Amino acid sequence: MKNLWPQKFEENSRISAKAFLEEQAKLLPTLTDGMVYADVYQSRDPGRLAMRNDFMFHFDIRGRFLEDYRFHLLEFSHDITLYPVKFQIDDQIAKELKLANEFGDSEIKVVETPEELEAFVSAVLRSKRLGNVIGSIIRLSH
Amino acid sequence: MELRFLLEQLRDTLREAYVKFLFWNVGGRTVDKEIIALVADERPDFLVLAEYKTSTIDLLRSMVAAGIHFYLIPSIACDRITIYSNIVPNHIHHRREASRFTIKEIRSTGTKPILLCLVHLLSKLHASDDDQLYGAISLKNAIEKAETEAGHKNTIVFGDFNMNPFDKGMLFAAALNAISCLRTAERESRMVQGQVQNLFYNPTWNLLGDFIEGPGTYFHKSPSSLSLYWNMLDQVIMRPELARGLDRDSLKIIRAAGGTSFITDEGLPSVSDHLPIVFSIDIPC
Repeated sequence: MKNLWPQKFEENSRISAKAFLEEQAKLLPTLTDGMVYADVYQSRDPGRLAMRNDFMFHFDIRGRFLEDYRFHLLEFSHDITLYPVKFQIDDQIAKELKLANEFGDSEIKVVETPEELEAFVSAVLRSKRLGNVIGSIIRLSH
Repeated sequence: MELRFLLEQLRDTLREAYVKFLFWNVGGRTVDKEIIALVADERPDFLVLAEYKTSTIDLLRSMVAAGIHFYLIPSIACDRITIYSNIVPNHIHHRREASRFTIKEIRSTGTKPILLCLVHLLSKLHASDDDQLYGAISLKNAIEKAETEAGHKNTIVFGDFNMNPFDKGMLFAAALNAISCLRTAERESRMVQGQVQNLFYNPTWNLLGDFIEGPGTYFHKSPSSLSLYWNMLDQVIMRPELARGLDRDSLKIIRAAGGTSFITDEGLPSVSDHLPIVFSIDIPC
């Protein structure tokens, strides 16, 4: 029988959004004296983002001394090809980054490449709103 | 006469075992005087405000000066909602939160722990029915995760849902699944397409219509052919087990406090564009 497969397969070398965000999550405790950390986890919720995508994740901010607290910063999803990645972020950050109008009803962003992913995540992590949230968690942890 | 007095005294004593909640979307207006009058009249254990944009500390100081000994429950990420309570903050634990809702757990000695989910959801003026439905599904998922983490379903959800009790987000099984009949809700869940969907009981259905008092908390006149005029956007829903402790007579819309009317001569909201709601619930041991 004739082999219809290609000679070999190349592994997709582009970093996944999950791996990228997990790397960023690891840095947060060192910036907050261990008081604040981030949790990246997979979800099976039938949310709006997951409707056409196979892999859906959440990114929550947590406080080491506020054991039950979770701030839902964003969720993201992609299919097996890793890109594009569709993000839905906190509506106030969406407003701050001018992704959404003043009522926060279009807080979805699609990134097509690892470079776009880095630029977008950088903007979210440096947002004033997220800084305030992390600052409040630190204040309540003392 | 004496019997009536004794009955009223007994009723007051019994009410002391109840926890009373008061919610008001103040519409971004400066209404501290009215809030203090409301709290003085109703004596809630929890005062929850939406769109409160004046100084939360100044309001706390004014309440304390008026003999109302509340604590301000710190806000982290949900600054749309302001919470005061006479319960010591040590008993209030922060749980899941996003910008439009916050979930707290009250763990007091002598009663079951309860989850309080306070909401100010997307407005109908700026979101489609589908957006509201999606928001309700996200909220329901967060509530169920918090219930799993807490290990109980003693959950009360209240605030400005920006939906009527009959809207999709309130009723769809995959959304809040909040129905009008406690006897039916006591099944606790229903199976939909192979998935168990937990039920909420929504007593706010009983405030629709004008037989008792006014027909809603929010008035909006629309030029479209479908106009409800009155909307019941400010609601409370709860899991059926807790609903057995609801004091039915306590659930009401407030139209005046401290001699100040909150409505115009035509009956429309005047102090804020929303009217406050109040209810009491007996938290079981």
